[in-house]
Amino acid sequence: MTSISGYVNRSTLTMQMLTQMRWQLDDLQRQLATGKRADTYGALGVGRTMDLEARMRLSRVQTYESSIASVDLRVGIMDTALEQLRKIGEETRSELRFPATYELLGNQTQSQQLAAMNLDEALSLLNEKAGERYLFSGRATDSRATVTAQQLLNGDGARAGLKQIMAERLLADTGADGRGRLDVPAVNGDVVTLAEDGTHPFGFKLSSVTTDFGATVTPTAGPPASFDIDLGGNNPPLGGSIQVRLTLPDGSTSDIVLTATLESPPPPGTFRLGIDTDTTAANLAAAIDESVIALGRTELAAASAVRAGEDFFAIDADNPPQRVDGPPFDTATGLRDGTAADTMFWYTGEGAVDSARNTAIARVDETITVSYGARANEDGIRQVVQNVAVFASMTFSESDPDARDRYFALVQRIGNGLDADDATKQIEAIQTDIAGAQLAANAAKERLEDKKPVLQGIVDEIENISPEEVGVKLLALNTRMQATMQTTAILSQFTLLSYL
Amino acid sequence: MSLGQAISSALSGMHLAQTGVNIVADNISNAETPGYVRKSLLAGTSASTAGANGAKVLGVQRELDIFVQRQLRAEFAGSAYASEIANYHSRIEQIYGQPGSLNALDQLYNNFTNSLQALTTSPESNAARNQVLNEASVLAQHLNAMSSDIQTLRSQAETSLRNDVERANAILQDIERLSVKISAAEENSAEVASLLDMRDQLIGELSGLMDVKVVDIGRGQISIFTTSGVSLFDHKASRLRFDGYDSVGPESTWSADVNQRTVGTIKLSNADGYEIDLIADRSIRSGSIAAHLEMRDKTLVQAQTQLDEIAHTLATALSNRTEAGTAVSSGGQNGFEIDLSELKNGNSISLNIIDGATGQERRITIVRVDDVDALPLDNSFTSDPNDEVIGVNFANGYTSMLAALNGALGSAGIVFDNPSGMTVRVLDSGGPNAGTVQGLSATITTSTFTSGDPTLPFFVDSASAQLYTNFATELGSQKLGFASRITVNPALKADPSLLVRYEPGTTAGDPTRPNFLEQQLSTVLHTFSPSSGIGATNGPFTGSIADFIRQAVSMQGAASENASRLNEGQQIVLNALQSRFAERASVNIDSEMANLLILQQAYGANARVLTTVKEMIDALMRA
Repeated sequence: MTSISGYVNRSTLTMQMLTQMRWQLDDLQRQLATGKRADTYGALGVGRTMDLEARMRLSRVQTYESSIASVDLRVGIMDTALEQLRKIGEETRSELRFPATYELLGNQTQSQQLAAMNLDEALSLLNEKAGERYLFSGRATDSRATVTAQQLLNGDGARAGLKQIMAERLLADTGADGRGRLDVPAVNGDVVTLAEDGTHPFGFKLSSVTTDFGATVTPTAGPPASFDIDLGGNNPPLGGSIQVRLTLPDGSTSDIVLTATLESPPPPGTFRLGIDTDTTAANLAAAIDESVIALGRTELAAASAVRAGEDFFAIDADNPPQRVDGPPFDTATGLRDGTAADTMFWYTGEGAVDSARNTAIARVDETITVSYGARANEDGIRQVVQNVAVFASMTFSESDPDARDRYFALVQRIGNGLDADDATKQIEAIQTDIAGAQLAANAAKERLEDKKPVLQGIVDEIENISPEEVGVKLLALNTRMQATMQTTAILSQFTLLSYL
Repeated sequence: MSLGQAISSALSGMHLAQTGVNIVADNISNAETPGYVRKSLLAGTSASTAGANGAKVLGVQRELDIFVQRQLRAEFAGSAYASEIANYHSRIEQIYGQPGSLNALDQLYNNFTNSLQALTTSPESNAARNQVLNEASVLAQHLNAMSSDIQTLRSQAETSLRNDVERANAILQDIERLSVKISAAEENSAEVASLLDMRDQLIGELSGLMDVKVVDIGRGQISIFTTSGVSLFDHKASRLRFDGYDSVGPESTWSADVNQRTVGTIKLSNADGYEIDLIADRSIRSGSIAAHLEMRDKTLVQAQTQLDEIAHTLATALSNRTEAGTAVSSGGQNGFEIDLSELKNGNSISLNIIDGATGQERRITIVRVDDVDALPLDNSFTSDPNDEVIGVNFANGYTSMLAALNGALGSAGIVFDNPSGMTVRVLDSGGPNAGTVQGLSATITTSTFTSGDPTLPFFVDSASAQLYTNFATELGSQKLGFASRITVNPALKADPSLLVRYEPGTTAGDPTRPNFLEQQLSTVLHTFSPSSGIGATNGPFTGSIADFIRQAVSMQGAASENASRLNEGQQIVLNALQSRFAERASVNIDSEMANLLILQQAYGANARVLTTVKEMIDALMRA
């Protein structure tokens, strides 16, 4: 049986061979058509694990990219808002430094009216949104960062606004008689006694009394503090001076300096020497009293307003706004916490005291996160808003002789307030922080851009065919099939039957 | 030496030639018949008493290479097995999805974790929250569908088993009938030859169903055994029966215990009434029946276990929290106590002690088990290979629960008691041989959304929204088949803000819970049970859920590739053997034609002899 086994059987073996080749042909055609080497993980070969991992990384990259786009958008909006705020702070400060003019339009100066408009703008900047997200509310991104300027200044319904808080504080600080919560200076023989009227945080606080004519000054540390000025039977010489230093509610100090004079009536800033020390003491007491009342109407009023501003604005979750405990206000002895029902909380975002930057964290790469959150009650932002608001709240009247001095006292304090702690520098610091976050996010984006083609390359290498390779295989297979079929046909002719 | 002898010789020659032509005709007409073995003429001389020889038909010989036939039958079993397995694997691969397809399991999981990642950037966004819930639903539904497909494959295996066993039975019956006919017919005749052909054909088909060994006991009779030695046919055919079940689900498993078995088994009863369970006996090792069995009871069960493990880890990673016990002392005894009011059925307590009696460190996991039929629990209930597992029933109150624990662990020198409320306290027993209590903690499934902890019951068990705690049951645990029942908690779908709000007063932009969810699912490492086939009993697989899914998909791909390689290899071997067999056994028309010519010649020659003898006799008669 060594002859050609012939095509006798139309043997299933050859049929199988042909079917196999046909199947291979179909598969190569599929590869060429889809560009993919295999349509199952089994046929991918040992590269399948790496393929799975590369695909996962690729889909991750897209998520990171959309995170980065969100961060970009939000930081951009925040930066613009903070820039504007900084400008408001700077412009207000530089305007107040120029020799400020006192010219009322209605009951406020032009600068004050500008400040009111700036307040409005500042608050609307702080309530900027990106999509549905408030950007200056910390984690409470679905609630406004602040109330409106109208609500802030005037309150609404039962809730007291800034102006009311300031008014109450003013009463508490100046007292019923306008002496700034100091007792009327008492005279006992030739001893003048100055005293605060109680233990409370309001009004003038006696800091020190010094003379240059040797009167004995006996302080009694409080509270309530008092000073006994004992002339000691010696009339002060002409030109001798006494200096009473007072601390005001906003921490500033004011001095009352009185020099001895013989004129009658004694001009402001002097006291009349009397025949004897008792008379001098009485005159001194009267002069001090007059100075105190004058100071009360100017410096004290301004300081009270600034202090009220601090009490109203420096709030967070642990510290509600502080207001005078009353009525009655002019004899109040303490501050109390404002409640949400009776006081306007100007900041309505998330009040926790941890790092504000960490209230918004985005993941931009496998191991890298950027922090770009902010709260409207952060230092810097708060100072600008606070000072502008206080400046815009005070009103003056043409007929008030002390209004001008009071105004300048206010201007000086507002200017200092914007200077102190360098509010605008702090806003810049916030801008730098979030810009840093944006930079990190964009750096990550570039890295991802570089990574994407590499990952895609891995996937393609494992999954895709090279058309040239498949084309050559197809050609070879084609040749083989044709040869087999040809031989099969020829063999089927070779049979003895055709020769018999 | 008479002329008569010449005549009878010539006649015998002609008879031989006629038979030869018949055989040639037979061969040619059956040239294409599958299973037909070429016949050839066995001729011999006949010795008569007078010493004259003629030709005799000794018989019809089947041109068969017995050795190759035996090998071929073994290969039938092997190749049927390999091709069925390869078939199943390619269908399993369809279930797992194509590389890069939008419906592949790994892709859907990636989509889910990506949506959580987007949620951490914008927790307040309604769109982001809804996206998370949508992706979670799609993932859960996909796991449900995959489970259903796997169980459908098992069901098909069950049906195929029924069909195959019925066919095997029918074949054995036919073999019996044919054997009777063969023994009745004359040996070496053409009739016997075709009967033998038919019987060989049937045996070939049977060996495709299961691996068999055929023993020739002479006179055309055979015995058929499985390769493990069970008799299938010995003069009388044994009966095979399969008690198939109509519905097959994840809890349907095979067991040697008839009370626990919920899928069919194959029983063989022979003529003596002796019955044997072929699956319990592991008698069938190759052929398509073995392939269906392996798929139904091992491969597909393991695939289901992998899916269940994924579903289990998905649910528990998001819903389970660990609470540490507080250190306490009482008198001179030191230990820990913990409040168990939140401990659910299936939750566990981890206790770390130094045994007072042996001085060894022991790690003990105490599991709350409400179903008494599930006790006692095996150490393999947890994935940790180094812990001891004790299942304890809480239903009868703390007194009996503590009694059980003290009974089990008292010898280690520790004491359990209940100082107040639902607190359990573990102290060393004080005195000599006291053990040391080193640590106590509990793993608790959170069942509410705003408890102050970021864990939440994100996924629940089936439409009835039962909490998933993997409690123990008589058949195993809640994990069995969970992949077919996992769904997103409907309470979460009704209120998507719960994705962010983990305690009353949480602000809308607080990323605590979204961060927790995303970390648990993409970076935190979990330990997976080795019953899934990934990882070993002594070194279970530890990795992120994404890692496990990739391993599972990869493993299926590798298994499929192996199966198709094996199948290809088998095909090649089978083809080679078949062509060797065909070399001898298949009809070659050329040689048949040549034979025909020769026989024609022979017939003519013999006929010529006859006529010559007749002429000679005529001459004699005429003279």
